[in-house]
Amino acid sequence: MSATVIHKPFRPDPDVLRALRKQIQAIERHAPAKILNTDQNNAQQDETNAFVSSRFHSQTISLGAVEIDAALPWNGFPVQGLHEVFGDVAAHGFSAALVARLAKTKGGSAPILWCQQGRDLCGQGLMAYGIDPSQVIIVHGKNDTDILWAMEEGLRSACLSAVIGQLYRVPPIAGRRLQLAAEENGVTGILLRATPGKTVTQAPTAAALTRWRVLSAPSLTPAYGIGLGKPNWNLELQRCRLSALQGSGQDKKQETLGRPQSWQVEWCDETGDLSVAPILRDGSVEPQRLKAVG
Amino acid sequence: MAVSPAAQREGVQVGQSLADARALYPALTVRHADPAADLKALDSLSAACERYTPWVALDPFGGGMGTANLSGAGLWLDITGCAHLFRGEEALLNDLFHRLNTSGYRARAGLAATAGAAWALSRFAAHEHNPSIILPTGQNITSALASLPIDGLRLDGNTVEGLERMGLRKIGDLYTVPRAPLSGRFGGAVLRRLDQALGTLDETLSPRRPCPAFEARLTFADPIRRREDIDAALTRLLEQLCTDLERATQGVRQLVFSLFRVDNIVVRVQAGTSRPNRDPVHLAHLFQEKLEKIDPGFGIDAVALAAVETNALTVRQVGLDGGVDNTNRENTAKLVDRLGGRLGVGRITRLTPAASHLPEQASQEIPASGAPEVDCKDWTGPARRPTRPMQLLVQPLPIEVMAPVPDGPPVLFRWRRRQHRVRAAEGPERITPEWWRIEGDNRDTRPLSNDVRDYYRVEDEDGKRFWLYREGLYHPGLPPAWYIHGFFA
Repeated sequence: MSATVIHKPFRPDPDVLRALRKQIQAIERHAPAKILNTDQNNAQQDETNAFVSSRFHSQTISLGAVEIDAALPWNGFPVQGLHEVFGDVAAHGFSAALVARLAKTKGGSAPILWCQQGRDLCGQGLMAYGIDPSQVIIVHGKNDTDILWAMEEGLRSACLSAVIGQLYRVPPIAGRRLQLAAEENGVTGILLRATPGKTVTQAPTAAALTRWRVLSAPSLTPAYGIGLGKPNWNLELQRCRLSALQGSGQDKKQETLGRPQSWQVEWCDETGDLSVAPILRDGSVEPQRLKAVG
Repeated sequence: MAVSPAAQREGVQVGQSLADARALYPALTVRHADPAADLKALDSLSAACERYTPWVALDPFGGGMGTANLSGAGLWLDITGCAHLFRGEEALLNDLFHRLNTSGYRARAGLAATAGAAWALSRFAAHEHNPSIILPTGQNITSALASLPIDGLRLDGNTVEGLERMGLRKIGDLYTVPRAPLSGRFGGAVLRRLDQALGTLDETLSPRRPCPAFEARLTFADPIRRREDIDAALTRLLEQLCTDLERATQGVRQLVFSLFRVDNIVVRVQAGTSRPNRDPVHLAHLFQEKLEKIDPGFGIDAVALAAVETNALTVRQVGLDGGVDNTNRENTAKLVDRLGGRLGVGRITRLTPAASHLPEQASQEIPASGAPEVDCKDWTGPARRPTRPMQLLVQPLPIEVMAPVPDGPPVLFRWRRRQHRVRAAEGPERITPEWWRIEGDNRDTRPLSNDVRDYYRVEDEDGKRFWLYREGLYHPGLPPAWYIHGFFA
């Protein structure tokens, strides 16, 4: 019996794999160990679905565009967890659009903690993104350490709807602590790692659930020909932690989940929605856009 | 002028000329009087005395005494209701003397039912061999003071001299003198001081620091040094204080934690809250960061926790639905306290709208602790359309601009050594200065048109959006000044 197994290519026992995954899941969620004693019915159901739903209780928000929501393994933007946004000034816009949507999750009145070093936040500007400025508590840190501490303190108090921090350097342990705090208390943490004018090239945080890279893209000229159109961004989903945890042998749909993808999106200031702009609709800017994404 | 005990043994006396003193003892060390340092030392001594009572005052009577061996300065301690904490008045005084002697002070004390009597006793009844005089409550002040010299009444030198010329040398002599001629001759001061000393007239002294309405204290048999012990003491004090506060339906806004070190130095730690609070756990949390920096020296033998500022805080009933809104607001206040405790209250801010149409003044930051609740409706101006950037530069930065027409949008601008070619522009939005705010002088010298700003939202070839403005109206021959003021995403 054992001789036949040796000649076959190595294929892990699905039951063992399932048990191991649940064990990891239990460690990550600090869940009681009894989750390991699964009965047969549980084991039969779709692994990924069980994994996703048990991990996040499927609390997500929509980004407004079906394509982007569907590309995320949670089928939407997960509320609990840490997310990282790189890029230029457009990263601020994307983060603000996220925060505006997150601010409406907890009864609409839960405050937002905004941690940064500079004093350049403008109330009227926040309103334009659909954020109520009176909901925002600003923390002016002297350095990254202060900001990381303030973010963690914010993520640990469940009264907030979102914690956003503008940082230059995130040590791996600090990132992990933030992620744990965010997951335990059901608060969204956003690491905004961009400054206007220059793109920050810093080591990303491994602990974050998603990593985005957002760059400005030329907008379309409005129909009447003068003025500015809706802002366009090159949105790139660089990484999803769920995809790294999933093994091979999934069906095709699950394989595409959480894979690096990019879209050119248009942000609508009236609805706060993102919409995916059809590719190649504006031939003249296409080569440049490819360069920016690549 | 003062003479040390060692010098006294050599025969040097107060009031001697320096040449005489040097003749008696050639190696005499002479120091100039330093009243400022004396006052500072007295001040720190008074802080150290707050371990006995919160009510400590500097003696307002300074100098002017007939006899030169009294510099006149001293400390008042009102120990009403405090003596039993130290097992009686005598034990308290012994403790005080022990403490002062070990730090190198020689002191004399008088303890009596009235401030005036205590003053007289400490200065004229106490002497080197018996430095503390206690006049127990109920004992006759009149007879105790009768034999003391007239100086004991806290009178100025001229009055004392005049009284002595009349043969009134002791306080007891005044008891029998008719009152009307006395006040007619020397003014009301003599009789007022006499009555105050005897207790027939009230006397109010103001303490050095305001006495808190709510205070908890703890003294230790052995000095503590370890951080855990300080934490435990703080917890006990907080529990005591919060029980008192609850009884009075008050909440803390400002707390002062005083640590009395063995070497008579007082370390004070403050903590503030953004909303009245009396939750011991939360308040203890506010001190955590600050206690780490404390230097306990040779040990701390007493601690006091005072609620310096309190506001009414009634017990709130939690609604049947859990009262989510209220608890959330309280949790937010607690978070603000914790953040402010470590980073500084000024670093935690909220945005508030201001009545100004200048973009940099329309949105202002105020400290989040104690900030009034601002409603979304208070924010006026462009609601959804992004006409104001999210990031507004505190100071607009000058840029180099190429514009085809002097009052049109730019086609090219240079910022941070990078050239941006403008693809599309929107504007201008003209923002004029607020003439009603300009002070009188400036109005005439600087024309308003110089400060007019024409704002443009522009997008460069990469799709980056900027908020630029041109300052001033167009004048032929003058290149217009352009600035960058913000970034749109």
